[in-house]
Amino acid sequence: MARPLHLGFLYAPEAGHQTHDESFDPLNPLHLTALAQGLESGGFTFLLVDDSVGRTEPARSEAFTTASFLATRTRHIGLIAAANTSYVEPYNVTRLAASLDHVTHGRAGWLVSTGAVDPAGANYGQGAAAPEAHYGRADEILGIARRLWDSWEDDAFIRDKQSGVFVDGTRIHPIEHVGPAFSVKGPLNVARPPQGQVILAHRVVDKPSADFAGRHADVAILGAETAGSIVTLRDIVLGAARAARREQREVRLFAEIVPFVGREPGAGASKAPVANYVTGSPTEIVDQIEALANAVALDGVVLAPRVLRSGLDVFSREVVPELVRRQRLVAGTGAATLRERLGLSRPRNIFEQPARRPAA
Amino acid sequence: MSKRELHFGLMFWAGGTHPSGWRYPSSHAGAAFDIEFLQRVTQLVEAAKFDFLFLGDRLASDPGLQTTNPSQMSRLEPFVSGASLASATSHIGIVVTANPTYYDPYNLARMFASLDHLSQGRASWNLVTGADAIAAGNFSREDHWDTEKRYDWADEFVTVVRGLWDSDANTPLNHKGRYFDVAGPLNIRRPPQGHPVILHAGTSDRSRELGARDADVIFAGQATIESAKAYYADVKSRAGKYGRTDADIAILPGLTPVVAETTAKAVEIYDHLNSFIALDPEGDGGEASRYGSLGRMGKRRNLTAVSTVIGVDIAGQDRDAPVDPVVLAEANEEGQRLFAHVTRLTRRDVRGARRLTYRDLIIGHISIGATVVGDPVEVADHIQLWFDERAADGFNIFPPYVPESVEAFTSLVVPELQRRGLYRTEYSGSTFRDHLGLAKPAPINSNASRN
Repeated sequence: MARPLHLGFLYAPEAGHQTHDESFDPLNPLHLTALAQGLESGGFTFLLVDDSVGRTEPARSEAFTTASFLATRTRHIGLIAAANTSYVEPYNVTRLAASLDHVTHGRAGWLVSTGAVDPAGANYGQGAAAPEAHYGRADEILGIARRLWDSWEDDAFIRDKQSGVFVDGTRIHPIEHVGPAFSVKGPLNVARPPQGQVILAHRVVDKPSADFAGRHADVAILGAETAGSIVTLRDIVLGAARAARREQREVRLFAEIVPFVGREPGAGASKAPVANYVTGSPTEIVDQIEALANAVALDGVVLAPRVLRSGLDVFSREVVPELVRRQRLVAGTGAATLRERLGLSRPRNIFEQPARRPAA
Repeated sequence: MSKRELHFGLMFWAGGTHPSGWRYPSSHAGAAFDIEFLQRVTQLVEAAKFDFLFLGDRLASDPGLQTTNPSQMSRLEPFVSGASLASATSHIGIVVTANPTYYDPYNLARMFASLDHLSQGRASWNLVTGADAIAAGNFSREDHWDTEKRYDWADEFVTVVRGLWDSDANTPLNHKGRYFDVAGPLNIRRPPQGHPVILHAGTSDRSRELGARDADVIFAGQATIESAKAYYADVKSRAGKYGRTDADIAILPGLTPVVAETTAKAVEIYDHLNSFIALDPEGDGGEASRYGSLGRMGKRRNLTAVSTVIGVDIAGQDRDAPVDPVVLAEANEEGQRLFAHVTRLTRRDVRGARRLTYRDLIIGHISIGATVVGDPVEVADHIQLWFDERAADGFNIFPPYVPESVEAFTSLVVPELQRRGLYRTEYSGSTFRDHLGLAKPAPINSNASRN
């Protein structure tokens, strides 16, 4: 039997939702809450809170504050917040992501974007830079983030009221990073995230982004118009993963789709080249999702409906039940963290010395 | 003009603001990363109609802090915890500490605008310029900037952030200054409060000027009513030159209350807390390495250090023995103040039935800021005195241990202040500006059609 699929939802300024219902104001916390709770009850594995540091219409709130706000109002859904590595300090973004993982109890992810796809230099006193420069900076920041997340070992806290020993200082590590763009001493000022390493997601639309996803991403979101183009991007991602000595099973593959159910308004709109459009009756849409998933060996699909919220509501009401009927939707129960739900293992801490671990 | 009213904030340090607060039996030692616990404490002070919850921050960590300041070693990033707390509350202001020295103005303006939208007008920025030299090492810098450069940078930074909050498609910012070159506009609607509330703390001349120009709330650290009155008068006198009035700035010193139903019980709690403080062997030196580079409050905890302060050599004394009255008689002026301070907190003296010990002097020497120990009436009297004497417009409450000391303050002291007509019994509005009695500011460079 074909394996079940994960559903993700892309809440993105530039990838869709150019039109939105009167009923959805992106700056209304109640509307945001209803969106997240609707996705959770619909069985979605994660919500990607995308972001842009350039001009966006309609305006929306910053991704990490939004995701943290929604964390309190949801219980199971993964919350993956965007930050653009070209315009952040690594120490700041690393602690945002680690903290989001704590307040979600391990449901956090970081949707990594770069200035190559979201140029905003004029707001930061920066000139234009080549894509390689943006990705080079992103590589360095992720290297820093991974080490900072590990800079506190899981058992660094002792918290013994009797002795007054609060931490074991030998399990807290400076990282002493010195690289082309940054020098970061560490340690982080946040305990190790519940997932060990926060889930990293990246949207793949071309070769540089596919290479980057292969090197770093737990969740690669393939955005192209046809199954053939999606396969091409997938192969670049997996090739880059092999080159980085990662196992293929460490990368979860998703395709971005734009669903148009039945005679939903906008079905005749011109296609954007970053997403596969699926149209027709609920049965036909599930047929197309299954065909795509089989052709690309996908772990799931990420929905970016063109109209918020009605596009999502129609999908949840009419398409999700069909996925469930065909046993093609991953059941959400039982997994505590997003990492577990995606079937990914919790990484060992790079600073942990095996000899010091207590005997079983 | 409306009646002057007290304002309260809660300084949230998960393990309590007392260095050993986390060791108190009822304290939650793992509170720093327990967001549900943070939410419960915030809801507790919201029920008591506090103006705000204060989330501090430091941009570095050091294991050496564990004896001086364990709550500041590691904690949740304040925007993340602030957004989560906003989600679990409806009225209380949420103060997030952010350091412009290590932030970018466009990012920070977005973060606060977002928090203000998500909280529906309850966001606040505690503007600090950073006192920890080691933070520089986490941000690709060799050195910590000096005060002048930090404040030059912060002054322009605040101007840019305010300009971004006021910008829109018709009026982008196009700021070109000494440090920043920011086109704008900000990609979010103007915050519900116009400008989120700005807090600032500090004692330097540059800090007082920044506070007088930009701060809605000033969080001061004066330990005595005399120094607090002088600070209060000085800062408020500076407001006029920036076109502001006394009433535009609320000055809220820190206050650590140790309160219980009776004075005796409060003193017992105070002593119990202090019993957890590990003292140092006699001698001096090694302070920086012992407490780490963040441990500015890490005074040497022994009689050698006390001897230096009071001008009498008591280094060889038995710490648990009562202090010889001769020591008080021979002590210098600072020593006299230390004895008075210890007596005020412990109700123990060098004579009489309750005798203070050499250990009490060490504890008194290392204690910081203003502390009041007593029953609800005594604590309320202290607060009213500072308020009436214009040493304070209210207080940033430092809970020495959490959550019990917060519960004690809200259940015992707040009702007493409400009975005296000094403190609100209901919120009069839903935004943090409403609690402070501040109007929403008109946009700078505004067109008539905006806002």
